[in-house]
Amino acid sequence: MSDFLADSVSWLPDLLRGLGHSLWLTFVSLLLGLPLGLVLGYVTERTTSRPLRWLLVAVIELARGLPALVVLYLIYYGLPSVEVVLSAFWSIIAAFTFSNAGYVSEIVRGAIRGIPAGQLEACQALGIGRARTFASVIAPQALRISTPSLVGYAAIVFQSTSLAVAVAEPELLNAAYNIGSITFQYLQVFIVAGALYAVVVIAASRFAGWLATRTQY
Amino acid sequence: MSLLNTTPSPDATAAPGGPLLVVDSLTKSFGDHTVLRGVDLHLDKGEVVALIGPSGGGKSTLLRCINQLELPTSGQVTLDGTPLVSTRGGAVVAPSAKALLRVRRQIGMVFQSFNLFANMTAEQNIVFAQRAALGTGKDEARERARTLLERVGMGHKAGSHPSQLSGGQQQRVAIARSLALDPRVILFDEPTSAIDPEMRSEVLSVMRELAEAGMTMLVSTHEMGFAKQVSDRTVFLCDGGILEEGPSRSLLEQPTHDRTRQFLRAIAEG
Repeated sequence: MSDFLADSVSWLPDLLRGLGHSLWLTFVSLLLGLPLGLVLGYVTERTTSRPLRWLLVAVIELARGLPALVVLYLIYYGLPSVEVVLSAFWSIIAAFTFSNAGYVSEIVRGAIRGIPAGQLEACQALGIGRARTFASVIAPQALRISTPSLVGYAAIVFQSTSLAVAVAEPELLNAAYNIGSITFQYLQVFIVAGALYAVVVIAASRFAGWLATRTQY
Repeated sequence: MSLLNTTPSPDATAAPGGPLLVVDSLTKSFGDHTVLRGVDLHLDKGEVVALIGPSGGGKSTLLRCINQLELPTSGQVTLDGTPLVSTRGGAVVAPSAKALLRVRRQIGMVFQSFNLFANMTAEQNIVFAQRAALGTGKDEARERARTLLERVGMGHKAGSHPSQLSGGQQQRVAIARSLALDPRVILFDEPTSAIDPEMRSEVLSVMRELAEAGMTMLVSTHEMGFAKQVSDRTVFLCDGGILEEGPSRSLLEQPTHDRTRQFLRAIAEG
């Protein structure tokens, strides 16, 4: 047991470096995916043009339907055959941003639908323009409704950064795998790595739960 | 203290005599379903008209067509001589966004479900309405909001969110919000139906003060007491048409139409 502890401590610098990189991948792919998903969700929900809506729904369904790993392989291994070569890092970011935009747009659409119709009608009856209505009434309420879901989703994104091991990106799982291949203590090192994933995800879901109670009016 | 501004409103300069709001042969269909079958109605300035009738009879739709939350199928609505419904070659067409905003800023609307903005306090609701609809400056909007909240007896709740207020309190704030835009006429869509019976009087008394202050009001209601005591005229709307109308007291006490009598009896037996 003391050996396990001592080994774990000695692995920690490498694992924490990997964890930092996993968090960085999560952050960048959300930074790009969130605004994209917000716009995608809002436009899909509110557009009056049917062809546009169908197109956007198709994109959203594709983004949610394709496994992130498949998208990652398509970009990293597939695109070079049409002369588009991205680094492992940017392949991951591109693949995750695509998936994220799809999922976030669904969360946002749900939130916009969750706002009572009366809120919009009150704006109309008062003669308040569309942009102002969106900025001051719809967006703040949609964001409030969707914040816990978005934080929960961010935790899932963090978990799925482990897929990046497939393109040898130095994230947490990759760091654990490398330690295992040197020490052959796969069981121990994956337990420690798993615990690190769990700590972050549990903290995030607790935070989401706390936000859900905090964000009621 | 008056609920209205003492400064002369724009309609003070309008030609005297003519009705302020005229609804002319208004129809509304949703697909095959006809809700309004040619409604004619007029309100003089300062007049309070109660709109009564069975649920599904078209009361809400009529109010919503007047401020064009619903686009009428045919007919016209005129406010102080200005037609509000856009037509092309005699047919009703969707108005431009700009025209729509202009119409709605002149016609206040108070909803059955209050519809206060959930993400804003009572005061913020009124400040935001003025700033977004009229471009009022922040200080001026805030001062007016406070004055109006005092006048509807809600000054002590200026910082409360709608979820912290009772139905009656929310509706008083909603009335104040509507007043903040200085509308020419206010439409009330069953303003007390979603409020506990013992809380209704606080809303009705605000409306009574408003009527006494000279506000032009069209009130869809099931409150026959209010209709009798406060409204000048009562209109009975049934199956999409006006079946009977007249001075409130006589219509409510001695209706001429069987259907009106039947409706009033059902309400009284409640």
